[in-house]
Parts: sequence; structure tokens; C-alpha cells
Amino acid sequence: MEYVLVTQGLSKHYKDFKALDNLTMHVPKGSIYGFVGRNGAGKTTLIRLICGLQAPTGGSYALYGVDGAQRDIAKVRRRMGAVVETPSIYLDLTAQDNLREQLRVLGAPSDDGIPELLKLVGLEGTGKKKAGHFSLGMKQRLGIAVALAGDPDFLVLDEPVNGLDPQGIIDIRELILKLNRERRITVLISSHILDELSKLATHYGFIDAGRIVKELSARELEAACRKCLRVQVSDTRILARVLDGMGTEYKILSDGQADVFAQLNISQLSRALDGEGCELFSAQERDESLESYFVNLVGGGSHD
Amino acid sequence: MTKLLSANLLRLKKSVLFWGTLALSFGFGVLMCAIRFREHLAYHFEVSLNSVFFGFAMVVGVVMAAFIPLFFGTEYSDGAIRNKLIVGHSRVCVYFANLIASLGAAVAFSAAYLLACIAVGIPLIGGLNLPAAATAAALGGSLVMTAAYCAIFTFITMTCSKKSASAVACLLGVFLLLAAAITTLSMLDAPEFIQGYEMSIDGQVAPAKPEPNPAYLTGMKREVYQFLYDLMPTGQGIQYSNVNFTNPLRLMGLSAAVAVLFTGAGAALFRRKNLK
Repeated sequence: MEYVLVTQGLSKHYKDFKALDNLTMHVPKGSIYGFVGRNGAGKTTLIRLICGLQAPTGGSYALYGVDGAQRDIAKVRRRMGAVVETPSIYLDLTAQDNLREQLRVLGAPSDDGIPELLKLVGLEGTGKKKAGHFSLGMKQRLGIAVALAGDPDFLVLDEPVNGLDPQGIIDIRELILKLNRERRITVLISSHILDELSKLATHYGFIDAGRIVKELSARELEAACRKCLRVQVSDTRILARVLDGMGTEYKILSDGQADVFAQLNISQLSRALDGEGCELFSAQERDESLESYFVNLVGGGSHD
Repeated sequence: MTKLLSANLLRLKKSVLFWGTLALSFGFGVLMCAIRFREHLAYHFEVSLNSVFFGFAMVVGVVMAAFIPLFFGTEYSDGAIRNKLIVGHSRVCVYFANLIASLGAAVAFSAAYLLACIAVGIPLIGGLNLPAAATAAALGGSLVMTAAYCAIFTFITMTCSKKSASAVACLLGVFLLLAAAITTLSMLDAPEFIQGYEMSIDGQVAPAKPEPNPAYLTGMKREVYQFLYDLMPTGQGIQYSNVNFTNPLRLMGLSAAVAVLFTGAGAALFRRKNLK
């Protein structure tokens, strides 16, 4: 698999505080990578490091295969755009002037792309209104437009829906999906709003206390969170034989435990197992949400 | 770096702060000429443009102490500095582009003041009556002094992430430097001897033998105070505004040294700075 971003044992310490602690992650090309963690877990710190706003204390990262410590990283950074924490826009300039300013920073030969960019983020009608008078959602969209000014193929968004109203959240979600599907932009999106992320992400990285605790694809997560019947039996080999006979999908967890992915008639299953000499001790319906999956992964300790 | 300079220039063109300061600089020039003209009318003083033409050298420090942190500090407060670094510009280039843009703005403000003196001052109080060499030295020296001011305030603004804190530090710094320059000047200007007077028994007052002034600076102490006075941009501002300087090359050299020192230190600190 081709990766846009790979980090190896990345660390960032502020005096005695370890904001990132040997963090290793992989962002596949073309994905929407949901970077999940509670507040203070290290999400923004990682983004600051890969954006070159801060230097790592240890470890390394590579963007498109180029090590972050190499001189060539400056060229590779031209392929990325980012909105870190708050949208980076001049509040005393209009949306158009903000984009014009960023095009100058990028050395773009002309300002021709501005109307298209404004249309893409839904700000084409803002005219001479200064960005300082925009709503939070409009500022966020302008921040994304500025990040897109260099036509990047890797977009980093740090908590892009924080503080937005429901319509604003939908607008940003649709924009991100559009960018990923139509422009093939890889998106790294950090958030602690799991429900929102689950509507976007194709891959997930769960971070806790500065470390990645789990990386998996949306498909793997879906399987892990799939509705199932968890059964306790005396012998899972017999259970497997019976379920194979029924043509039912299942997953053996241990000698006495399995997940069955179907709506079963318990009495029928019990009778079938009994006939094979296997006892059914319990059957419990499980429907794990992304939220409970996350809590199980990182524990439910106090958050700040 | 040209891309960053172009971006800074665009921001200057769109900045109300820049155009407002430019208008104020022009207005200040008009005001100074009008005051001199009024003095001439009221008290029949002989006035010339000499007394106001280089006045910007005194105020350019205060103007830039307010302008640089407000204009470039916005990059921190609005977070826009990140946009430059994320797309791969080096920190040194960002630092130098801001320094050059601030010097450009300072030159524009000074030019606006000079333009007002030429447009309003010459018709009201007449032209400059200075040798061309002195005029060139004062203008050239003022430019290098302005570069020193810009280097100091860019250093503060780029190494301090808080716009309000850097504005306070710059303004406080320039007024402290101004107070230090005035104090140093008064010490350097102290007379070597104090003229006393004697009264005879019959009530006649006559000049006494001059007594040495204990406050008069001599030897190494005088040299150190003179060096500090020449080193401080505010001290140089006083000298240029009064067109009262003996060694313009020394002043330019000292200002250049201040500019290089602050720029080197500022760029080094900014390179290592953790940005949010």
C-alpha cells in the first residue's frame, strides 16, 4: 500500500510532558484518515509536527516518502494544505483577498482559480465582506479554501467541525467527501466527534496519551463493531460445525466463545448443539458502537 | 522569498493600518511646517526647512514600534503565519520577508513626511539651506537608523507569539530608549566649567573664576556615554533631526551593527520556535 504519511516512533516533549510518545502511524494514499483521540491525546501536536510548525524531539516522519528532516521536505510540503486548530485567515481581508494572498505566498502565476475555489467551498457570494464578520462555519470553509489554494493532494484538517452548527457540520462533511472523491485528495482529519468521523473515514487511527493504540480500516472497524450474537458454549468446534451446517457467518473467539453474525432462533441453535453434545451456556446480543469501541480501546478514564 | 515579499506587499496595499499611518505621517509633516510658520508669523523668528525636514528621524521609531507588532503580529493572532510554513517556506525567508516589508513601510512613512515638508514647508518657510553632503548624510544615516529600528521591532514581534505583548514591548522599549538617549545627551552636554559670580563688599557683582563641573564627563567615561548615545537609534534620531552629527559613517556603522545583531539573533530564535 502506498502511504502519504508515515511516522516512526515520533516523540514530542515539552519539558517533562510527553505530548507524543513513540507514535507510529500510516496514512494510506487516497484515504480519509480519521485521527481519533480525546482532548490532550496529542492529535494537534502530531499535526503541528507534520506541518513543520514544530520540530520533533525524537523519531521521524515521512511525507510521500521524503523524511521530515531532509531539505526536500519543503518541496513535498507544497503538495499539502492544512487547517490547524483555527482557520488561518486574515480577518481584515475579504475571502477573495485571503485567497489572493495565499496564491502570492505560493507564487501562483495568476488569480484565475479564486472564483472556482470560492464556489467549491460555498463562499462565492461573500463579496466585500471581511472574514472577521464571517460565521464560524464560513471561516472554517475559507480556511479550507486557503489550504486548497495550492491544489494539494494531501489535506490535513484539525477538528474541522468543532463549534459548528448542524448545517455547518453537514457542509464541511460534504466538502471533505467531495474533495476526496472528485479530486482524489487524501485527507487526515482529527476529531473527537466519533459519530461524525464514522460518516467520513475510510481508515482510523486511535491515539491515546501520545501513542497510536490501534490503526484499522473502516471495513475492519465495521466488522469489529458489527451487530452479533455472542455465545458461550462448551465446545466451539461443535458450534462451528453446526453453524457451518446452517450456513451462518461466525467468528470463534476462544475455546468456549464465539460471535455469530446472524439473527438466530436460539431454541433451534440450542437443540442443534444439544444433539451434537455441546452445551449452550449463554447468548448475548452485541451491538458495539464506534464510541464504545473507542472507550474499550483507550479506557474510560477522566478526560480534560 | 520574492513570493513572500509579494504577499507582504499585497497585504500592505490592503491594510487600513498602513494607509492610515501613511496619512498620519503626511499630516504630521504638514503640522510641523504649520507650527514653524506660525512661530515665524507670531515672533518673527527666522525659520527654515532645516528645523523640520529631518524631524521624521525622531518619530519614525515610535511609529514603527506601533506598526510592526500590529501589522506582523496579526500573522500570529490570525494564525496566517502557518500558511507560509505549511507550504514549505523556510522560517528564515519568512523572517527576512517581514523585515524587508517593515523597512519598506518605514521608508514609505518617512517619504510621506518628507513629501509634506516639500509640498507645504517650502512654500511656507522656504527650502533647505544645508550643504548637499550633510543632507545626503542625514538622509542616508536616517535610513540605516530606520533599518536598526525595524530589526529590533521585527525581532520582538517574530519571537513573541502574542500580538498585544509584542506591541507593549516595542512601545515600552522605544520610550525607554528615548528617555535613555535624552538623559545621556544631557550628561554629555553638561558644561566643563561652571561660571560663578562674586559680589564685592560694595555690592558689585563680577564673574568669578570658572569652577570645574563635577558632572562633566571626562576620559573613558565620556567615550562610553558618547558610544551609547551614538549606538541607540533614539540617540541617532536626535542627532539627525537636529542635523547635529559629526561622524555620520560611525553612526551608520553602529546602526548597521545593531540591525545585523538583532536580525541574526531573531532569525536564529524564530527557526527554533515552537509555533501553534
